[in-house]
Amino acid sequence: MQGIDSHPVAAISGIRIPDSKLARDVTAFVRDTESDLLFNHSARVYFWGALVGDRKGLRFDAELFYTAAMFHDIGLTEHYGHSHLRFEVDGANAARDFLRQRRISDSDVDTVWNAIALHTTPGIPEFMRPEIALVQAGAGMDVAGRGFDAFTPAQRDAVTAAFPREADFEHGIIDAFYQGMKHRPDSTFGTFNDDILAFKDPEFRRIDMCSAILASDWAG
Amino acid sequence: MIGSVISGIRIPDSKLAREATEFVRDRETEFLFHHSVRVYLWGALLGERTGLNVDPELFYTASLFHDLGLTQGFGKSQLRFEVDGANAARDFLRGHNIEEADVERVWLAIALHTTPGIPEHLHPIGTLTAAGVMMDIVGYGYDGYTEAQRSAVEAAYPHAPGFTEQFLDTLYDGLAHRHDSTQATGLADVVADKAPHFHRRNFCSLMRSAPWADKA
Repeated sequence: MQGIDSHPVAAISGIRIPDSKLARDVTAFVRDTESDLLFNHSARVYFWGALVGDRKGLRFDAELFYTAAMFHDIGLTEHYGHSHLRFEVDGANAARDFLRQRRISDSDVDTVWNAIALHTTPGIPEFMRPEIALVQAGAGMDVAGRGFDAFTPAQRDAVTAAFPREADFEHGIIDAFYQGMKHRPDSTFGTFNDDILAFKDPEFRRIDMCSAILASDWAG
Repeated sequence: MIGSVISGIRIPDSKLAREATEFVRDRETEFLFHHSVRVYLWGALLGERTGLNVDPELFYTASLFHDLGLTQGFGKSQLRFEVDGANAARDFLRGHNIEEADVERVWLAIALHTTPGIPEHLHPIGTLTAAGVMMDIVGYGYDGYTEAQRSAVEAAYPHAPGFTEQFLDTLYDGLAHRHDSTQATGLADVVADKAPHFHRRNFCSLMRSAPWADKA
């Protein structure tokens, strides 16, 4: 990322990355661990989420939210190449360890854990604490354009100028998902992550919940 | 029933437990109510075996309310049925002056009981609710229970004949007016099974059709 400050503290479209030791440690940790694609994606998730939060008048802790946004996809990285947990849980656990070492309270750690663990679970985070709701809202905007028109063109331009959304980001992130999950296909059961595997691997067979119910030991 | 002991597990008989029983019994079919009591029993047995300690009243409330969102009272809701049940349990517990941290644990246990791979990392109320459900409908962990435990639970609260198909019908009855609330969850399989024209949303297509694509 030559020439781009990975922890700019000047406001971008009115939103600032927290200028604290914790936030700088988060940036450095994720910068060292993730590809440019995932790092820039995560930073944009912070900005989209914070913009949504401001627009809706939600009160959230910027440091906790920044930590959750930056760690949300860390479970896709090589370090978890042998994990059989959901990648979301690997990321949530990584953020929990990181925050506990810095003596963040258990209840705040739980908030960040839930924000990361549930960021791909539809229909639930919006009823939880703002930090949890906003990670999903930011990720939905960045990955699938959810709520796209509620952001002004100026907001979109400012955020993507600071943290570029590369050409063909869609295929890039689908590939990042696939690389992070191909060794643990069963972890995608009952989530939309199985769409990624089905797209990348013609041999992949989704597990169907009805078949699972019908094949249960009870049925015998 | 209330206060009875089944395979060493007592059905809680406090005022709160009695009122939870009455509340759910008034709104659910016997079929669904018995499923919910079995979820409590499977979960409580698992908790004893694995040393996961839960407050029996709170766990009983989570078990009883976990499928309440499938009932007629939510026939106009567009939320996930799991969230409707979670909200109903929250209102019920707040009405009994249960402290907010415990209310949140029960809420999350119900809201996430169909979400794979997460509840086992939550507070034991969430872990045992999902595990009890998966034992009762899919038989996950079946061999971890003794024959005597399974027989005792079945004798008190039997799986009805044709349980599986009736359960799938019950799920669909609660989801027929809100197909889209199941997108990207395991419940979309139930809707696809029952409604041949249901169009499952695909995450990759969603990304490709996003407004961003215009800019790439």
